[in-house]
Amino acid sequence: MSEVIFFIAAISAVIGAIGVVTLRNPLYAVLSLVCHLVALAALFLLLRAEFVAAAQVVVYAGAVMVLYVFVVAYVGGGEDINSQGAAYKPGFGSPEHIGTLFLTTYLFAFELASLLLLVAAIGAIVLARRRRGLEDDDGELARVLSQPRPAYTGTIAEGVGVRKVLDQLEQSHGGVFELSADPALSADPELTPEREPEGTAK
Amino acid sequence: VTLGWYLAVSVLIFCIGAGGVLVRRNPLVILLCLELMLNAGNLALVTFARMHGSEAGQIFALIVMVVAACEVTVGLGLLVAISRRNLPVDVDQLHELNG
Repeated sequence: MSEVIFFIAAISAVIGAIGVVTLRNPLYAVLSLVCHLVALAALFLLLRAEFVAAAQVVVYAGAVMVLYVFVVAYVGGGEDINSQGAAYKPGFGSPEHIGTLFLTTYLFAFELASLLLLVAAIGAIVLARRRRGLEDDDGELARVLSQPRPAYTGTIAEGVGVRKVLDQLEQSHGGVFELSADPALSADPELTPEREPEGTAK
Repeated sequence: VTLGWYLAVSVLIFCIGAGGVLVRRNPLVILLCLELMLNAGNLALVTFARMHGSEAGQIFALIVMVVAACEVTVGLGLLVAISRRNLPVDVDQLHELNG
């Protein structure tokens, strides 16, 4: 019985692996990998690794493959080897044993893995986010800044981009504007725009 | 079925994955082939765990799964960033970092 299951699982795992490499469409390659992973989970079960098999199906075939499908949609030893295995003791590979080992002997690796997951999550967010500055979608900002407004009245636009405001004012009024630390200079009637309402420059 | 068969399957899957990484040019398929290689390693680890009757190999396999998940997260993030800039999804054309 276990031989039959082994050969079915092994053959479908190898066929799935060949499909990943040979299929042209990446979506079919991902589905082929899902087949491969499920067959591998069956092999893990035959090796008495119940928890690893469950994690394989849940983490890999579930979460990671969904991630793949989304992205596809978006982009487009020297000693004698005991070949029969050690004697099987009840509870081998069960979640209790694995959990106990994780929280005692392999605690450091466990914590390291959680840190690695956190770093990868942050890295993915940093890599995949939109970068406003690098794309050509600041037309809205230019439209807002091109509207005439009184100079040196402490608007937010001046606060975030005085240079841009000055350039826009220069364009819209044809005069030469210079940023001066002296507030009296900015109140100079020659330098202030003609459209400026009275009293706002003071 | 002796445990040697499991190791043979593991070696076969690893070779298929390594060949895919070398042959294919789509970065997505290259990531999939990396998954194949990591899974072949997992199968070997679980087989050795069975061989020696110790669960340490299974723990290692689970850690490898975590590492694979991280690798996928970062790799797919890079892929999304590539496609957002309308760069070609082809590792032969993404040669800006060539020395």
